[in-house]
Formats: sequence, structure tokens, C-alpha cells
Amino acid sequence: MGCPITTREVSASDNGENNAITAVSALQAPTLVSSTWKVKPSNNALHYKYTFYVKVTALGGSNKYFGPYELDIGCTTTSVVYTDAASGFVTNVPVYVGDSVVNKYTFAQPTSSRAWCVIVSNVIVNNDATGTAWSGSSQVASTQGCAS
Amino acid sequence: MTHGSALSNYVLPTYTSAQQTGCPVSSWEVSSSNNGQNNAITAMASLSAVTDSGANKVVFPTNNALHQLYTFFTKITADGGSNAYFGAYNLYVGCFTGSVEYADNAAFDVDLPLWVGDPTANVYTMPLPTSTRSWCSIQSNAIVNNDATGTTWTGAAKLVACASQPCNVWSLVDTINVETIYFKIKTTWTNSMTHLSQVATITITCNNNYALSTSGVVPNAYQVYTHGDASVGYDLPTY
Repeated sequence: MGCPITTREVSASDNGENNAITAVSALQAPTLVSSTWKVKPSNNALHYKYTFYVKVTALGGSNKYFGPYELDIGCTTTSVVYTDAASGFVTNVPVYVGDSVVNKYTFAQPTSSRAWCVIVSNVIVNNDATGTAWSGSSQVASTQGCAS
Repeated sequence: MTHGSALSNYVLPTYTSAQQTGCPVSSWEVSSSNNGQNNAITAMASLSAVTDSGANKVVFPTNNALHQLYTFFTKITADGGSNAYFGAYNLYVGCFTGSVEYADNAAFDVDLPLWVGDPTANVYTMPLPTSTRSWCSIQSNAIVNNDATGTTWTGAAKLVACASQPCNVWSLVDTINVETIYFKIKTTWTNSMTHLSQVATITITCNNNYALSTSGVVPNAYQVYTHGDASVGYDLPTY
């Protein structure tokens, strides 16, 4: 009551009590939004994970670092998990010699753990550990048959 | 002179006649005024007649419990009728304005700095004020407003009233807030005389070594939001 918190500063590291912060240009200074203090990215269009600390200072000079805090914005490797469609993913299409070649394989879209991580494209790749660019038969091509 | 003591009296000077050997002083009378040679005195009921006290002639109050100034004259008469008034004489008995002066102690603490959160018990000690008369003693000390006359404290209770008087050590009600408390101390002496101290302050400020922590519901240390939304950010805990 008598000695309230007066400042909140974002720091890239915990520099210890009474030591100055290490500025983080990628993050804004904390702002009060509807009674909650928020730390926003300087550029909210980036897909990025920010790790930071907050140096809190009270009237009179008492201070302490808190954190680390992690803010994951957008779609990053740490913020989202993708999974093959729970049903409908076709692992084998039996085709007879002489069958029609049009629209022979339909890919059930995978799912994302984050609603804002949406599918931009699907491409056929090699059957290897990392999915390298398709290098096999021209019977299929990376984007052959796709609408876009 | 102190009051309440039969020893409190005014020792008169020795009066002599120009012909003291043949026509010595033979009458000593007390008068409230100098009525002029050969004129009768104006009696003073509040003072005794001139009385022998050892080798001295003395005058004392008829009621020695009073705190009072007695101003009087003496009419001295020698054998044969020669007479003269002497005085005025002032006999101060007890404690009252004019007979005594009070002063703050030289060590009076005008500014006591404290930290928010400091203990509150017995924080302010007033070195007792002084009196020019040893028989004028302190009856009580009270915290009063910081004004010209020391009116009764009217602010929020800041200092705890003393359990018994006379006291000179006070506790604070709390040290929760940053604040400066201005006050004076009114000392009441014998005969209800008062002395008002200079202004004292107790200044409570924030220290720089308090423990800081989070409170309430602590948000997840890992927070995830969509991109491209200017409204989102990391919700900090309440510190």
C-alpha cells in the first residue's frame, strides 16, 4: 500500500537486483490494458517466440527481476502441433492398369493445434525423413493435380 | 519562590534611621501601595505582617499554596515617627507567567525519518523541555496540532496516546503509508502552565530493500497468441 510498484521494464536477461535491464527492442514496454499489464511485440506480424524478463521496481527503489516469460506469437515450432487428419487420410490407393488417371488421390487435410495456423499449400515430396522435394517418377509431381 | 512551602518568603533589606542609635527603626508595615510619607498603609490581606526570621525581617503569603506575584511596599517607621515607604517589592511564589520560562530541550527531535513497514512501538521520544524554576514540574505531554496555539489534535490518529502521564515516548498507529506527520507537543506544567514545542515531523518513506513478489492468479509463464493482432501481448502477473 505504502510503497506500490512504480515501474515494469522488459529485459532480455535477469541482470540481478539493482542492476540495469538489457533492452529488448523486439518488445514494447509494458502497457496497462484493462487493468492488466501487457508486453506486446514491436512487430506483431512476425511469427516469433520471445523470451524475456521483467524488472519490477517499487516506490523507494526496491526491485527484482521476474521471469523468464515466453511469448509465442503466430505459428512457430514451439507453439503449434500438426497432425494427419484423424480420419480419411488415405495411405493406399489400389489402381488397375488402364484406369482413369484423373483425381486418383484425395488428401484429407491435416489438422493444426492453433486455429490461426492455416494451410497455405500441399506438395508431394519424397518418402524420406525430412520430406525432400519429389525426385521420383513423373507419374506424380509435387503440385500436379492441385487446384492451386 | 516555590509554592506550598512555609519557607517561601521575602527577605526584606535592613532599614536604618539617620539616627539609628538614638531613634532606631521600630515599625515595619506592609502596604499594597506607596501612599506617601506620614500616610497610612493600604493593608494586604494576602501577605503576612513583617515577621522576624532569624536575623531577618520577612514577609510571606498568607496562603502559600497559591501561584502568584505579590507586589508590595513597606512603610518603615523609626522611634519618634520618622517614616518612609520602600518598594515596590515583587514576591513570586510558585509557577505562573512572569516567574518562570520554559524551553524546548536542546536535543528536541524535529525530524524523525522512518521507513514504511518499520516497527511502530516507541518510535518518537521527546527529550523533556526545561524550566527556569526547579519547582515547576511537568504534569503531562500531549500531541497537538501544528498551529500557533497547539490546539487539540484533530487529524487522523497517527501517534498513540500515552497510557500514563507524564510521558515523552510515543508509538505510531502504523507505518503503512508514505507520509509526513507534522505535530507539536504541548507540555502542561505545575499550575496548568503550558509550553508549546516547536514543530516536529515524522517522515515515513519507502526503503529500497523490500521483497517483491507476485500476487493473485499468476498467468502461465508461456503464452501463445496469433500474429498480426495489435491487441495481444503477454499478460504480466500482478506484482
